[in-house]
Amino acid sequence: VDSLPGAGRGTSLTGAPLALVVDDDLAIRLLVTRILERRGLRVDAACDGVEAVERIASAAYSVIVLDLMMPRLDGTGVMKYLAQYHPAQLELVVVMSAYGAAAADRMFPFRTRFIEKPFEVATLLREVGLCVDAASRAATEQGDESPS
Amino acid sequence: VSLVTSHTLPIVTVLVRQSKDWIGARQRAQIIAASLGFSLQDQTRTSTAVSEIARNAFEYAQGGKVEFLAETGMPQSLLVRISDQGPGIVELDLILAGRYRSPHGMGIGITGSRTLMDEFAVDTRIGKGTTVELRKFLPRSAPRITPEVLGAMATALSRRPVDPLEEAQHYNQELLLTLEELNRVNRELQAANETKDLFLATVSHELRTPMTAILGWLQMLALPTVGESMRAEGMKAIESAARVQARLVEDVLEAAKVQSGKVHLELTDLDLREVIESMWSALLPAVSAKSLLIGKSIADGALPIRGDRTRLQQILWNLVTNAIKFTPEQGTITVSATTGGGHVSVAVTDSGEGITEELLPHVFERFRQGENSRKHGGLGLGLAIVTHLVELHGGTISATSEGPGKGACFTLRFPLRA
Repeated sequence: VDSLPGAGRGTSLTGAPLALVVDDDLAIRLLVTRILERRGLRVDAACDGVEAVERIASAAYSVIVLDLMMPRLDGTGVMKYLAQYHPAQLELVVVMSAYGAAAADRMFPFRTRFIEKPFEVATLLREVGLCVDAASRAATEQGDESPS
Repeated sequence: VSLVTSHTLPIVTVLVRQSKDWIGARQRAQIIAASLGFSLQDQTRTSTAVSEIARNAFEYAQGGKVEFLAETGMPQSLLVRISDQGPGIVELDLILAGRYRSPHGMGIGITGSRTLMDEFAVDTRIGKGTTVELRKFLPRSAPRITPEVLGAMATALSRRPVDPLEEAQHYNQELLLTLEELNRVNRELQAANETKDLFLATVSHELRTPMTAILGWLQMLALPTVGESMRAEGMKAIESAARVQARLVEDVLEAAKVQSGKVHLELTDLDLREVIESMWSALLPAVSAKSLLIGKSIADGALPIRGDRTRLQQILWNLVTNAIKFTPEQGTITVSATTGGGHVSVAVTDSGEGITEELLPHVFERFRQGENSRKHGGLGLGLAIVTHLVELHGGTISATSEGPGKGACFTLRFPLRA
């Protein structure tokens, strides 16, 4: 975990990318949180879609790790919310589900990064890393465009 | 072996001497079955079974007779006795065991007829003859067999001539009905199959979830630089996930046991109040994770029933944990118990998510979960297991809900011990 690409890129704690972990299973929520923290990210956690939407409305995340099957509002609901209000964030989502990719595809109309539970820690970090890179590229481009 | 009981009235006897006679026997079986109130499907089953055995008597024993008898004791039934004085059936045991193979299709009539009827008895003596008795129970909705019913039947039987063309048309219609029935059964099987597929997907999802926590945390704990607090956190997560997984496996095994009828109760005289109280004390720690208002209201005096203490606890635990699962924070859950009308009733009422009108009639079926409940996790087996255990106690379970968001109430009813 410590030697994965992107680890220790030298961001200060406050400047570290911000991640959102959404899962109704406490053990998994905590696991993903700790994995990402070790990777140098700041992490918020939400235990269902409703909490996730509240978080997303008030912070810009570099990556959202999203479970599908959750009470109150499920992963599909969160994606629908993103598609409507924060379409750029759709690319920064890693869906993780204990349904296989095929079954998840059937239930889930969005094309996103997808990892199947149970996952290898390295796989999770690779997908998260790609999102974080995309987010920072987007931020840089935006910075270039606006001459401030 | 004979299926005859003491309340037997003769309807008609048909002699089988020519090939057209077994067709006549079939036709009469059809008329009799119809007058007795059998469904179209059962009329066909009965007339087919009768004609197969009558044809056997004609082909292998040069004829015999078919007696139709009404059995008026409850439950009412139609009894058909087909007897001949032929050579007897040498291979009967093999035929009945389904192991007899004949190039001419011999034996198929016997095994086929047996599956079409409710009861089947055959008595064969080598060199002396064979008697086959077939019984079909009347549907519960059928009227009592009275002399008037038999009189009307006699008129119908005397009126109808054997017309081969008409008979062929009739067979055709029966065949069509049978095909329709086959299609219906096929559709039912397909639906059952889909439910099973969905269940398998659910089981795999539910088992993979704790497995994710276990495998992930093990990978984390294997890292060289894990601090003491994270190690403790990880161990706790692994333990709780492993327990979840063990419980899931337990539920699947329990459901399989229930399904195959292998659950046996250890019945004792007990007071259901004690069972509720002991479940209650085990419940409080489970509720503390969520802020819910839970209460109980139990009528004064004993709640005497006959039951299996462990299983009753399992039933109550299941209903209450279900209520906890589907009731959001700040909600209420009430357990109440009363006696009356020869029953002890226990109701578990919650202010939770409720049950949709469409799901309500199906909540006790195996694998059934609402779209909403699936998102809460679980296998959809709990209520099916509970229902079976309640029924083993001679009790009933029912569910009511005003609809989504309006809570639900599950009511158990056990016979009051005298």
